[in-house]
Amino acid sequence: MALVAANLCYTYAAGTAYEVPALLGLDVHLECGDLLVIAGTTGSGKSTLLRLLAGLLRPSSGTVGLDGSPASDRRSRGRAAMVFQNPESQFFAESLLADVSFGPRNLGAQEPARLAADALAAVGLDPDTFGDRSPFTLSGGEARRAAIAGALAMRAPYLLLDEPTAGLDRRGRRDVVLAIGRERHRAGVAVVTHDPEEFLPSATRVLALHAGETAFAGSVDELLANPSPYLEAGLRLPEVVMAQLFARGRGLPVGAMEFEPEAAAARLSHARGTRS
Amino acid sequence: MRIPVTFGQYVPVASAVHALDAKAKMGLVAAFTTAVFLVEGFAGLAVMSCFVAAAIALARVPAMLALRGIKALTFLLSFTMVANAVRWEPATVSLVRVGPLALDGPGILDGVFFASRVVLLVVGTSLLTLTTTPVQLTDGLERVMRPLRAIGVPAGEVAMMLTIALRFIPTTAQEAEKIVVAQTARGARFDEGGPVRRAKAFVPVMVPLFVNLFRRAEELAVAMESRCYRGGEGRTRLNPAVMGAVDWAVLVTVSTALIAAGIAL
Amino acid sequence: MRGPSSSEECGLIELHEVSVTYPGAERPALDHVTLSIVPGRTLALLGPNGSGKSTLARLCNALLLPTSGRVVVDGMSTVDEATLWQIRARVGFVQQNPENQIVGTVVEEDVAFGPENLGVPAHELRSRVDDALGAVGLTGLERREPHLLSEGQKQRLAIAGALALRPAYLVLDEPTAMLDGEGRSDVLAALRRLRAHGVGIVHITHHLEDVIDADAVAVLDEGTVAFSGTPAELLADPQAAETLGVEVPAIVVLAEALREHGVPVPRDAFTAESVAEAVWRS
Repeated sequence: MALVAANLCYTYAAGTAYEVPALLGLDVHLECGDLLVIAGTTGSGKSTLLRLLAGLLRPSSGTVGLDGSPASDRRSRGRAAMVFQNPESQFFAESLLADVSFGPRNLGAQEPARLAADALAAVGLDPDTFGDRSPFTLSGGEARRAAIAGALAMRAPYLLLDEPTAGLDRRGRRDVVLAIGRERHRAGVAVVTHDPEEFLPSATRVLALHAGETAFAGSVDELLANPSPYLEAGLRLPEVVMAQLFARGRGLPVGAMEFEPEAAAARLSHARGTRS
Repeated sequence: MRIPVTFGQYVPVASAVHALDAKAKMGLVAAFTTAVFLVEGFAGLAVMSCFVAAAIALARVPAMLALRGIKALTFLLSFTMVANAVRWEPATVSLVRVGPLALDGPGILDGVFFASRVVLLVVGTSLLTLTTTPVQLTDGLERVMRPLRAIGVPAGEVAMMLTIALRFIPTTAQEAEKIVVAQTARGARFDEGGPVRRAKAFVPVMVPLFVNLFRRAEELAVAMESRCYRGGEGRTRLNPAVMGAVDWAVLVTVSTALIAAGIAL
Repeated sequence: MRGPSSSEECGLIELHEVSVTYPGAERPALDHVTLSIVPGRTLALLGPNGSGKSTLARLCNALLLPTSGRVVVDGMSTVDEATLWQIRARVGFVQQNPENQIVGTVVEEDVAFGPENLGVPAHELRSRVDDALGAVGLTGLERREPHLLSEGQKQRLAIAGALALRPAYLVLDEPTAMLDGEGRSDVLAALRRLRAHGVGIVHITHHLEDVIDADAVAVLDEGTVAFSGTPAELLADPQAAETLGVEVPAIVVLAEALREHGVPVPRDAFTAESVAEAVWRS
């Protein structure tokens, strides 16, 4: 059971004067428990990739399979839930509960209201307090989480998110990262972002794109062992990690990388003490 | 990902007609319309057709594009034809007669005449939008409307409104597309059920679209005020569209010729 | 890019004991705030949502008038209607979402919008447009339609639109919030160039990283100035900064932790490279 994309290619406006190749032969594998970080700068093709995985675009060549069926197939409807950039700008209902239950209702779910309440609770918004509120009165971080709940309520086994933390303050970002992390026990999660700082510590795999091609694919450990292709794709690593990489470059025996500043400080000062 | 969004009908090629000032073109359209209504016989229509054909050739616009407007008018044209061709108990010899309604030779000719007139008007005026950018059109409109300020019509403000509307058409189209895709991803279906259900399906698209538009409008107002916008009075223009000698010459001679032909034929 | 057209060399924006209470609000959005904004310097305004940052920004060019206190721009009070447009021309204002600030249907016409409103003659408009586009690095895109620009380019276009008024000051309300890494660094580079040319900048942001080289920082908290000083002074006590709602960069926390481990990391080491360098040298 997995979301598998093989040799995926996509060309915008194929056959016209505006033809733009966006993706050139990508492979993706996502299963329950995964947190796949798809990183890339603007124009790298990362958002296109996400739309292909969600079955909202058809690949020019290559395949996207959801548990064995093509992503664009009717059988796959509702099996990959997608959260777009700034999803809070798509609110439309009078109450949060009505908005969040829109997805399950469309899919003909048995108890859309209960699914919506569960989803709100999952993103840390108490359904009793927030359920009747207008979605247009929420703060930035609350609105983002509520919009993500709209996708969670569909109970899809694959969850695809486009820049879920963009534009939020630190607290908002942390809340979103926590909410997304909680979904991994029941779903495979893929996050597209230009700045994966918050997601790297818990990511299972990283796919870095550059101009529609794979610049790096592997685990976070592999990324930190050999970060050059990733950095050359114009992507950034957390400053705390960069400091350790620079120190290692200078010849300090840093060893494994730490994401937390305190742990990194301990490691760096230890490396400084043990150098010959 | 950005795909060029073209709106309006403007065909971006270089031609003498494109280069003509928008105000001159508007004047010519007015003269042409008058001439077409003045024309009384098929000879006159033939001359007007020649004028339109020459203008299309000069504008280097694909003839199919210029003629496309006719398709939308099929119903109106058929109606014009039938309404003119069919007569109520005519005294003359009829070709076909159904009760008091009859078709006769002069009636059919009348139908053809009036329908041809509509076709000429549509094709002639569509040349204006095919060879003039929306911005040039609004600028031209402002200038043409300026005398109306004397009776309280805010020409500058109307032109600014049109410019802003044009500016936000691609933005709004992109946004609408984004919302449609996002709601589709949440299982919304826009192509199922009867007309009522289909209309209702668009609520989750229209509400956020309007909410976002109002927010945009508010921020845009702040931006305009910050940049010293205080109405059309006293504004200057970076690219003022000025009627040159050539524009005036073309406007005067061609309009005179058209009207003269309209009166004579 | 020419500097401010003002003959007063030592002008400044002064906020003196300014309070703002919105109709129906229980507490003031700004409460007795006193600040000054100096040409050629950057003032960073930090603070959590609802702390009054945007309210303060709107006071500077008379979009909003204080309930009490005074806002004076180069000697002109913002309540004086006679000098309203002079103040607006002297204080440029740029908002968070570039899309919603662009009026023109092509780049150059948008940049010209401000001076057109002031009735600047056509030949001077051209040089103002060219200067403003040059200052933000958009030369060559004069005829481009705004919706075909990247987000970073759009925001620089919005800045150029303000610059065409030849302002002495530029107030920016979270100008990088909607941009990715590249767009953000382009906008920040443009702002640094403007400062070097003598423009006084007020930069409102959540990201301390964006304004680490600011000349002064003010942190607003519930409508009052909770901190005023330099970025280095603010970060001298990271914990105190955090309690004010400032997002202290992780690299600063790392440097502080290293100092606690006895590694002598200088207080002005704000980049990964300088911190690593300090560890290596010690």
